[in-house]
Amino acid sequence: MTYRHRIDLLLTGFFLLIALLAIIGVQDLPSDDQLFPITAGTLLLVATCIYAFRVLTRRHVDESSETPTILDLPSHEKVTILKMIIYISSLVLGVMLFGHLVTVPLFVFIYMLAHGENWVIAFLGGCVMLIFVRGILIELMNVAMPHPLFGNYLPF
Amino acid sequence: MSISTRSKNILKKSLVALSVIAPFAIAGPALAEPDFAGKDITFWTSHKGADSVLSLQTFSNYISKYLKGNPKITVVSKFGGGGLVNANYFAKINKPDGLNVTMFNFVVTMAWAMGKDGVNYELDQYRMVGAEPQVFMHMAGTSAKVGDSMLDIAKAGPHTYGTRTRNANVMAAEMLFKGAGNPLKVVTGFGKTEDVIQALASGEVQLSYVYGPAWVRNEANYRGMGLKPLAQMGVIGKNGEVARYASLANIPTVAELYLKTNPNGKKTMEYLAMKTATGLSNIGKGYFIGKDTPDDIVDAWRAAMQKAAADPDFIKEHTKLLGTPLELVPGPEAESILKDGLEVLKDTYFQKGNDGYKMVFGGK
Amino acid sequence: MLETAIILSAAIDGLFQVLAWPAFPFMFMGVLVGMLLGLIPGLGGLVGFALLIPFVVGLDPVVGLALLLGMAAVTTQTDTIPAVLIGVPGTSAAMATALDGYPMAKKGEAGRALCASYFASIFGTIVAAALFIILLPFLRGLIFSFGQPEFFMLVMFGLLLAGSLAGNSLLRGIIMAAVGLLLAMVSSTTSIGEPRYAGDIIYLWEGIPVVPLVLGLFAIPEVIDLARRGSTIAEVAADTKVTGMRQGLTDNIKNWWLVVKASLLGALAGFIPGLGGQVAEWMAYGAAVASDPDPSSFGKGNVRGVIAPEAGTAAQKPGALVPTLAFGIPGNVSMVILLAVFPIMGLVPGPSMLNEQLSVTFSMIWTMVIANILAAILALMLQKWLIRLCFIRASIIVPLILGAMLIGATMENRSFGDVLVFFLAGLFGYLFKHFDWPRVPLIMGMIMGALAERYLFLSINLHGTKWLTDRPLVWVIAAVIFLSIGMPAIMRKRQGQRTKNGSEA
Repeated sequence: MTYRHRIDLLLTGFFLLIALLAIIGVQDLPSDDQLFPITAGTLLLVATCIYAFRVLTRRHVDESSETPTILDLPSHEKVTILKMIIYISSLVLGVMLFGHLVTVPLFVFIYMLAHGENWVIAFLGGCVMLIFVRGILIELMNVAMPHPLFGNYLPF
Repeated sequence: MSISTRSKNILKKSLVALSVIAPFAIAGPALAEPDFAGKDITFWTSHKGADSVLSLQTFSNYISKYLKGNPKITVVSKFGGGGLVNANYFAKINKPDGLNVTMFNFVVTMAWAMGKDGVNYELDQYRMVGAEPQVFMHMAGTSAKVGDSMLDIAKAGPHTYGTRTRNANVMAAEMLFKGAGNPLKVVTGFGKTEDVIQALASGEVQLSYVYGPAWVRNEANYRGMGLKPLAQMGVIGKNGEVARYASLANIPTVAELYLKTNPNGKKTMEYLAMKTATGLSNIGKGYFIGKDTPDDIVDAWRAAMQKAAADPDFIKEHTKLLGTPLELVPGPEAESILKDGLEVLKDTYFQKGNDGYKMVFGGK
Repeated sequence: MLETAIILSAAIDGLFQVLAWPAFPFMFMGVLVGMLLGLIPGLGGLVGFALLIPFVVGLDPVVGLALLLGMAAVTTQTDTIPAVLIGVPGTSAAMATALDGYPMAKKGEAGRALCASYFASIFGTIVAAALFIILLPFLRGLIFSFGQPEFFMLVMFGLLLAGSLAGNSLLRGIIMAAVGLLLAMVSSTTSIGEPRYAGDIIYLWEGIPVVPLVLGLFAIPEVIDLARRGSTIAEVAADTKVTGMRQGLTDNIKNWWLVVKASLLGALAGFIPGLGGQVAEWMAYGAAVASDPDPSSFGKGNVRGVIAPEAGTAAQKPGALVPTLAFGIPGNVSMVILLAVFPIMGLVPGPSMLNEQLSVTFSMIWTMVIANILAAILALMLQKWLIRLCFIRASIIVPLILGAMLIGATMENRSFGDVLVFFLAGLFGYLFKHFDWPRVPLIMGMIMGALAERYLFLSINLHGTKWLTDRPLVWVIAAVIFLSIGMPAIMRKRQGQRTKNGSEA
């Protein structure tokens, strides 16, 4: 079984679970509020079962079935993908802990430096983001950025 | 009494008086008007509509004029969950320094009082610095052809009421129809007020409600679409009973109509519910300050709001921008209305699972 | 005859009002602001209104509206630029454009894609304006003849169009559409006000927000792949001269019927309150796919996949003005804000906007047309520099895009929930992209699902089953659905059968 088929089955299983949870999750609601979710859930249930069957019995063939996936890429590219996911996760975590104003400019600065840009460009990039968040969003447009976890300990 | 005894008594009283006055004299600076110079104040609201935010920001600019130090006041929208997102957020960030003030709508106040899920704020811990009334009005669409009175319509037979979600206005309409002996079919689920208005105009639903001042502003347009005003939720008058809102003087209140079908109805739970709904919508945009805020800050805010609302320049500017002046219910009065309303809502009739709760928030 | 003369006279008056001083420079300012907002993912028209409303207080209505509408009209002109150049839609109305625009940029055809989109926007606005003039005498009757059943049928039209966007595998497309429908079911708008699938998470009571979901699903995968390639956006060396202008115009002329069709769909979506810009975009895109002899070419750099959604989105805006001005019923979210601004300008939506104030109404329509033309000219002039963006190193562009996207995603609800939705959608989006699970049906299901449920229930609660039998407009829309989707699919199948039989013979 190829990687593609395995991922297909994994996703299909995941969606099957969602379908079941969706149908169960509305049992306490009146019938009016159940109709659409149960219809969509049933459609999902049936489609995932048929698809899983076809993948398992190799009956599902389309243009993309046999083409290589990202799992077939050279290892350095796979590492890059993983690194990007870690970068994005750090950005998200940083924003939730320290807020957009601190995290986003810092992220831009660190990312550029880590990828070989000289510190002037990295610094400029960070400044652009800082001006955007502080100058335009917070000062000019009075956007209420969400309060991060350590927001009370920050001086701004 | 001998002069010496009288003198001793006078001295005693003076000493007593001094002992009472002295701490205030010594503590004088602590009770001086709070100074907000150089401070940034945030005025939170759950509304995201441009006119609502514009109204509040304009008001805030004038409030700042009357707060010592003229701080910068910025209105920030924190919308979602029918107002609960803003309320729960305020619960997390509020401090007793007068630098954060929030608007709670009457859904938020009722949700707290009636034990709705999702409430994570302590309404009874906050002080009210003022409020604006939200007077709603029921209207008929093109397919409600029976009479001009909501009572005639209620007596004529079952009708359909369209709305976004259930709330106290819908509850009042249902009670009126119940009193008239006919059911009111409430159809919820419309996306926006404008969707309901279109449904009214196209005849798909027969009844709905609209914000009173919005009717006043758009009356020609609404009448052109075939809509008719029927009954208003009213305001609480000086006698403590439901009275007509000044801008809708020709339109009867739902409470008035209810009493026509039930002359002894003032003692019923239904009438009390209508009155409470009216009272709470009279402080429908309630302005609250943080928990444990000292009295001097609360008083400073209340005074500034009242002066701002009465400022002729503000009245002119607000009327130019929004079409109507801002009506302010002063803080102490608002707090009193709130207290009365919350007291009524403690009744089990309004708690989760019971009739009153179901009429306001829906449910099985 | 007299009515025609009145309409034409008002149209000419309106045009002169817009071209006069100081309306024209204010409109130009609005255009500049709108262009900037469209460029930055996650911002867009609503942010622009928030910025500009304080400036319109005290201005003459035509001037103030020229500023506001000049801004609002062009955000969906320049949102194509990041959509084509870096695969990140500037607003959610450019999502469909990114599907084909970005592959075109990778092939070195960025200029052609951008020019095709500018001209499509211009033509879309013009078609919508012309439709407005034609329909003016019938407007009131038209808008009030649409009820919940008709809205439901229109949304079903959009949903069924999503079926034609399933890419290689119909089954995967159905699965994703069903997932989208279920995501749309998350909210508190049930008949009893209790949240469905949201529990105590208040953030979810308003439903899963679309903007962070779309940005995550579509934009994060592109950014990761850009970083993976480590080079620049353009995978093919491109001519940095301003190329493609003539070709972009030719593409529009060659596909004139598609432009008209997409514009009509867009105008209709704008005209019917409650549908909105995203529906216009996808209906137009879906119509292009459904009517193409080679649907599999979409998503790989088919210029029709750029022309159709751009024309549809552009036409949606003048369309949305119609119910807003005529009845005070906003045609889309931007119109809700515009309605709130009307009292400041001393305007009252209603019959007067179609009678005494008809020239003001026309000035608004003209503003949208002229603003689109201005924006296209400006964008063409700056094209050379814009295309250079394709050649900026990934190490510079990736963090800037990620940062801007994250901020843009947070603007929806201004909550960390948005950030989480963005992140999770990004992870799944990457998986879906590389394992050929089509994301478009998911988004279509989500956007249309909530609308479909609402309209279906309202139809049943208000009309019982009679909505299927007693309403002629429902049948008309059903016929349109069959003709636009069913017929092409049947004909393609027959064509395929004939080809198969021919080759066997």
